Amino acid sequence: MAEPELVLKKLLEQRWPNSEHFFERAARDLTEPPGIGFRALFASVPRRLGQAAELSLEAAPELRAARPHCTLTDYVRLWLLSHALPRLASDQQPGWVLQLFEAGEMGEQVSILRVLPLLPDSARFVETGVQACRTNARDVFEAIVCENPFLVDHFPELNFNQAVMKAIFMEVSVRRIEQLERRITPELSRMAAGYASERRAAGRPVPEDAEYLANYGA
Amino acid sequence: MLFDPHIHMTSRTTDDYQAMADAGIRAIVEPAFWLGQPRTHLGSFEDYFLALLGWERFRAAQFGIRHLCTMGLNPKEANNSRLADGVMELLRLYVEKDGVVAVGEIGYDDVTPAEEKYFAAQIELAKDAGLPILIHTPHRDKKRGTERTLALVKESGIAPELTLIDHNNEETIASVLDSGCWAGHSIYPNTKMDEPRMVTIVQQYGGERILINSAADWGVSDPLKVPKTAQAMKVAGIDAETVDTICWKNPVNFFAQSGRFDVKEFGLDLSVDQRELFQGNSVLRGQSPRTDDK
Repeated sequence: MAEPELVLKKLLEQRWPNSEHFFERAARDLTEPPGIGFRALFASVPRRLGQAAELSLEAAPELRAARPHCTLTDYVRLWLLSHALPRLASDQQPGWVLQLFEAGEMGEQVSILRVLPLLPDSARFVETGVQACRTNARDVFEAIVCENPFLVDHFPELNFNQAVMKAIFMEVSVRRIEQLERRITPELSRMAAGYASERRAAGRPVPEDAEYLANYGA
Repeated sequence: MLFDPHIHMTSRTTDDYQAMADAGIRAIVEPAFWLGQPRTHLGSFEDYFLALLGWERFRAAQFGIRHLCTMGLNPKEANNSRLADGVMELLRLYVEKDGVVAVGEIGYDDVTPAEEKYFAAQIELAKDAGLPILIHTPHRDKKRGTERTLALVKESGIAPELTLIDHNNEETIASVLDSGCWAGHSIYPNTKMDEPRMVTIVQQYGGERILINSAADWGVSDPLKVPKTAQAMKVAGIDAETVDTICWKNPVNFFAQSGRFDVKEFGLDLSVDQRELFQGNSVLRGQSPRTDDK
């Protein structure tokens, strides 16, 4: 078992003392390939955790991409994903994660997006991240765009720029995008300037984030 | 008489239909689009297309409103490579159905290669079916997206008079009108375009090839924006002929190019008989049915 997985297991054992039933059920539902039973278990995590579901945990340093807002629910789902993926051929894994994301309700989608950078060789899952940005649900959008290294590390330029512009539209501060400055390009500045111009022509206030991006490096 | 040429009634209530009818709306076009969240199965597209052609048309008629629709793969879901080709295959069938007056909404959203591929393919579909096209322009990077739209339309060879480019604003309308295409404007409570700005645009550009719509859907939107904007134009002193051109004649003439309805008959009041059923279903919930004298 890889080191991050051991750390994760230890973390769950410490924070979720009555988890035997869950792991018993997981042993049954982690079939090859994972089916409806697995999806049901994945969906039911917060209910099984009860009051601990929303507990934010200090992430272990071994889980480098984990962030302080990740909850116990997210970590349990990460554990499930980590154990399900090896039961699929590697070329099927990205498509399977995307399907799990699409078939998930918002809480499941949020968990998948938050732990995406913690999955092995996470760049493979970029399609899930990109599709997530097409959501209108703020929680889901924030899960991939805000305080998540996946965006800056793996999004192609076109999709990265669209995600940043969508953040402005959704009034999600672009300052919440990790290492944003690493990816600000003249093209992104041009898009932000275009939006600022459109807002002025409509007689509407220009969002501060649009000004910031438009003038970055100027 | 008023025409809302872009409204997503599957998301609206019978109260909306009643208010629209009371405000003078007699015809609508409901473009096929996305449902607020992505579909995960091809069959969901087909059932949606069938609902536009069936139940929704029946519901509208129950309030004296003529319901037409457009068929298309919307730009957002064009990015779903697992479903897009299947939807294109379905569209070959559904563009041939009665009451389908254009291919749409098509166009760009994120301006990805996949969006461009299906945008171009659907223009070809429209050309084959002899239908006009209804084009959505993107919210983000709008000006560039509209320029690319105009370039693609030109390259495709479809006639500009068969092309309606929607969701315009102050920065896009001049280039759209210059291209010979029709220019739609979505009047929204908070975004896109509002009534006073629309009045200013009409004062500057007149009424030729200009349309307005509510684009009302499942989000914050107002199905009465066409009557409200018509009123705002009148109050601002825009002549009644221009208002009628924008709010009735232009959408009728644009969609009549489909050859799928009779313009003369179209202006006649639709007789309402709420005793009618659709596949055994009624819009009524115990009320007395409204019936017009026939």
